[in-house]
Amino acid sequence: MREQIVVVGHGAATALGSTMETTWKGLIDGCSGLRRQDALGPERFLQSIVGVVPDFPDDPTLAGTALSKLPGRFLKLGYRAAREAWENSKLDAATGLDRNRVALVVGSAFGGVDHLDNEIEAMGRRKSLATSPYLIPGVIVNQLAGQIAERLDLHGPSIAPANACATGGIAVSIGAALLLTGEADVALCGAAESAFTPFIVNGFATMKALLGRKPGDRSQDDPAQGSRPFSVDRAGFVLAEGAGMVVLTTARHARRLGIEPQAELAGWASNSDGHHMAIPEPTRITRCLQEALRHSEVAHEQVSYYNAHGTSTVVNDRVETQALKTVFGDHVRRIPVSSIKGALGHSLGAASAVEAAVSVRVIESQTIPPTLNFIRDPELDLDYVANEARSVRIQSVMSASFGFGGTNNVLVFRRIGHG
Amino acid sequence: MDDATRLAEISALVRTVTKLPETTLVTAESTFTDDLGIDSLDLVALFLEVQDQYEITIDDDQIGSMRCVGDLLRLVNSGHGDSKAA
Repeated sequence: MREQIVVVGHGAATALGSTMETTWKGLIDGCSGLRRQDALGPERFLQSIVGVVPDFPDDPTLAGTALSKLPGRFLKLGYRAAREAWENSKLDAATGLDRNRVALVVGSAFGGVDHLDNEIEAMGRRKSLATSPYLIPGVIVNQLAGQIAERLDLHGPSIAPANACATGGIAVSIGAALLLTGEADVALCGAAESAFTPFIVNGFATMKALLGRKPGDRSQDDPAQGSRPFSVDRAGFVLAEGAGMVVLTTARHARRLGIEPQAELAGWASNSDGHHMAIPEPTRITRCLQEALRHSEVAHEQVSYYNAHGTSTVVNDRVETQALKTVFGDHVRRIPVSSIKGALGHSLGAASAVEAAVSVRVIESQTIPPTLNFIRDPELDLDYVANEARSVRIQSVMSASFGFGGTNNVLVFRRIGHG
Repeated sequence: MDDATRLAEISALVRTVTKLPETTLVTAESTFTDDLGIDSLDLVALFLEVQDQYEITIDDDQIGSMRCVGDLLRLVNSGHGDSKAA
């Protein structure tokens, strides 16, 4: 029998707030974190409606540290969420914690791409070909794990997945696997992203994955309506920044350390489409969902809520709906489905980590956050928890993510003491 | 520009580039490594910024011989133009 994996801490920084609490309150209140940003003007950017983490000043306690010298926002957001998740776990106060056996599985899709963009501009002004000595350390994806290790004094294995929009979910899966193989006692897992550079914004826009600037689009008058997953007039995702982290351990270690579990990570699955550089493959997504159910030993009727990838692109939301119908059959109409990307936008690699943290909060609060800006698409006929949060009895939550490059991940969380 | 003004300018540059805490005192005698806790990457960043600001070239031999803020002040003062920021 597999050891039980439990979540003992979680944290997030999103467009709704720089903490888990502000994020959760905004989600349940039906707020949007999406705004038009003047800094992303039309002379350089193809889209200016984005989700920026608000209330996030420089941390004076980090003066002189590497985090004060490396300008990449993904490092600062990731550290913020990691510290919150770690403090939330109360593991610092636990007797018997071996800090050499705390793994860091922390990724990002793009890493310090904003730092790279700054440096390209700086090189243009310089007479020499020299770059800032902070460029390489600041751009590499695994620097986030390195900084968290340094600041939180954690020294177990370090892994930095880069699986596009499935990065965070895959980080959680890898962290759980490290616990099962005995390579670590605790795993701090998640992802962070901030990629508001012309290359990234305009790259997604040119692919037609991103919400464009369309005359008459309802986001023109109200930017908060830019992201509208599963809606009839969905027109692409809205880029956001953010970070999400969860702290995992085994139920056995949690008992030994005297830590109260918040939820069980009942199972997970990851697979590869092997199909196309960017277009999702329905049968592989279906299989990933099925495999996660099998791995978690959760029956169809025990799934109380499905936290969707739900990007607000025409293709994803149709494919994901169809996959759910294939997996659950008629029972699918009894499963509430929502996408918090309607409120937060899409923070790429961080999104599924934020959704993992939110899934834990869903179980703790027995409340489902809504899909904002929802207008029914006649072709998509599930229960998308339109526009208002819903209190229901939650036993298990599925949270799915699918990334460019054909990388899929599904996590299944379950209430502690489910019977 | 007199020495005191230029020292203040360079000290501010040291503080900005290396993100020293406000409580850290920077004087001409402050050594980069022992007094200011500046590591080798910080030194490269600092010298790169000094080169840009004062439009001078600092070669590797000169970098190796600089121990304190005063050494940097003397290098800048050795006839290599004014700060663009001044």
